[in-house]
Amino acid sequence: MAVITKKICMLGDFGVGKTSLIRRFVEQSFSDQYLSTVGVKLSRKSLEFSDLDQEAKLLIWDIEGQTKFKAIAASYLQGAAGVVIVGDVTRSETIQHFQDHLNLFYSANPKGKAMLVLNKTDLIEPAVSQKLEAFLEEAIANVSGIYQTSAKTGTNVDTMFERLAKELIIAP
Amino acid sequence: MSLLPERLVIPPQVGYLLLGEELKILEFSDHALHFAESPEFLRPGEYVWIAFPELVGAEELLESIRIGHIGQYELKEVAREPFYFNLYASRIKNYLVVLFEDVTEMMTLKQSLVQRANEAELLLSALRNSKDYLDKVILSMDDALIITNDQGQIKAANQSALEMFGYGKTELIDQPFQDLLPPEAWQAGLDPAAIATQQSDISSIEVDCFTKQQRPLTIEFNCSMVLTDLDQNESFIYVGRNITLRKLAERKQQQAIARERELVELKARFLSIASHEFRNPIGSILMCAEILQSPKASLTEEEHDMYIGFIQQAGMTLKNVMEDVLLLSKVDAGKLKFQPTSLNLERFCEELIQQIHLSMDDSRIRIHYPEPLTEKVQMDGKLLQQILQNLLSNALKYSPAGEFVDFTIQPSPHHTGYLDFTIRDHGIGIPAEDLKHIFDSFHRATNVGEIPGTGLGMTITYKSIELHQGMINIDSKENQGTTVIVTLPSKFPLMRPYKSEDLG
Repeated sequence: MAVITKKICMLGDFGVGKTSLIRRFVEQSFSDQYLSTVGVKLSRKSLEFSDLDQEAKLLIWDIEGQTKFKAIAASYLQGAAGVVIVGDVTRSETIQHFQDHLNLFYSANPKGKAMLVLNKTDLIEPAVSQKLEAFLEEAIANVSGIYQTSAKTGTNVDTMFERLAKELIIAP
Repeated sequence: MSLLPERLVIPPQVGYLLLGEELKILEFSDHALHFAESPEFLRPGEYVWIAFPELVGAEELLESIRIGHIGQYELKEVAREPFYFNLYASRIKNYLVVLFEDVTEMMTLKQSLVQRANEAELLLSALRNSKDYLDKVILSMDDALIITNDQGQIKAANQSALEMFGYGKTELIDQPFQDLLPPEAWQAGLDPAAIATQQSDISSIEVDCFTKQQRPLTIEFNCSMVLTDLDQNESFIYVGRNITLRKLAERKQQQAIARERELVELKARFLSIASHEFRNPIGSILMCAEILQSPKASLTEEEHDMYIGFIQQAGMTLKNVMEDVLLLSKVDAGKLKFQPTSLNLERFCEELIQQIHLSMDDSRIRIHYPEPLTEKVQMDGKLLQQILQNLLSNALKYSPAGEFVDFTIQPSPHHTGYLDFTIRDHGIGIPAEDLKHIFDSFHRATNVGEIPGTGLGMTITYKSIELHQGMINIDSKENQGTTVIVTLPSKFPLMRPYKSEDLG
């Protein structure tokens, strides 16, 4: 089985749940306590795709969230194959920043793959997040997928990362 | 022996790596072990990214630096629990030097600062959402919401309040709420001072007031006092529901009930009068019939005729009452229509007077024509007969024997195309108080005594004049007599039909 190592970055405003999504994916755990990430922290997770006879070693970069005071350092995005752009469905402004994050990522990695993630869907009605997803489908082009996730319940978290990993294997 | 130039002094707290071709490790300082993810792979000959996976993806860039195509590379604030480090890569000779600076202390501090700032921002966002939610709730309320201070100055008002009173937001804020309401409503419990003295909320105070555009408005207010934490001041909350339409419906319902009651009373009055009016003539008929039938009576021929006459008279009275009632019900049902035809007025009036003289066995009516009349007029004979017959018989009925009734017909001095029919008697007159109700059904003046009547004649007269698009004017003094002037159009079509308000 061939092994491929890929760098994936998590981008988004502060407090949208980037660290929680990684924790759910890598450690299958969740904490309600908010602990803001500073700088950057690497996590690893390997996924095997027997159908493709491939193992993907994912290096997931948890990057400090964007705030009014601090933009995301472009140097963190160097050599990333994929990006997960995360927004909080209860804070619409975090979703409005999706396009900026996407532009930043594509300027560093024009051939990279991007996933848009609407996180914290456990806090709102399904119909509302469905509307948000429909809005994003209209508003933002050139992404590999849009997912409604909940790091708290685990909804769609593994699916989203696995889908991204597969995209990265198929179109390296 | 290090490959690094001797003059390059690297402080002991800074770790370093020296990389050669393909970014393989050539040498490293002990301190660099702190920062490696897998220190066991930090050994000469290994690829650098095995111990430092952060460099995956940057291989080409780093190689470009090593061979001198690009200046340098830095990666800041990388977490390697429990440390944080900054990483700098640059070229020395043909090597790539990677330096590690421990920034754990600074990052710990930064974490606590960012944590606080972000928590505050999240709280603010939650507050904004909550305010947004409240604003939407308030905006979607159909009820008016007005908040004042303890002086009654308006501090906030929702959209419904503005729409209800018809003001713009700037016109209401900081204005006294009192100005929107009548003084008695303010005193009845809406004054903040009054609300403050109440133990519980004040509910359902109905207030009649006006919008800015002076449209009447009925509002039901619920009021309460709240203490705000911000400045420990009291705020007064007024929630007002527009009940204008409900009140209007209630009023209409009450009016309908009153009207129904009036009708019931009218019916009762009618039955009472009708039974009274019927009882006397029926009594007379029965009594006369009994006398005529009795073999003991042994009446003279004269007496016999007298009793027959009584029966006929009573029968006539019954017929009159019946006719009046039937006619009035016809008018009320809208079945009586105005249909003018060509009429010889002089002949019409003379025949009418003759008829009255005959039926009342009384010939005191004197007719006058101060000016010659045109031979033909366009009038409704049926209506005219109703009007004149009622007025002339009244004049005869309510004036003592020996007093003439003067009936004058002449063109109206005030209205071209109209005729004035004036009936003057010197009878008992109509008391001023009764004059106000003279056209009400079954109303009879207080001074009529035993003189029979249905109380319907004047109602019929009024309605007939109304149908004939005319006017009536009554001038009467008790015990001196009455003068009635009826002004009717005699030519059709008229330029301007008179409206019913012109009557009386």
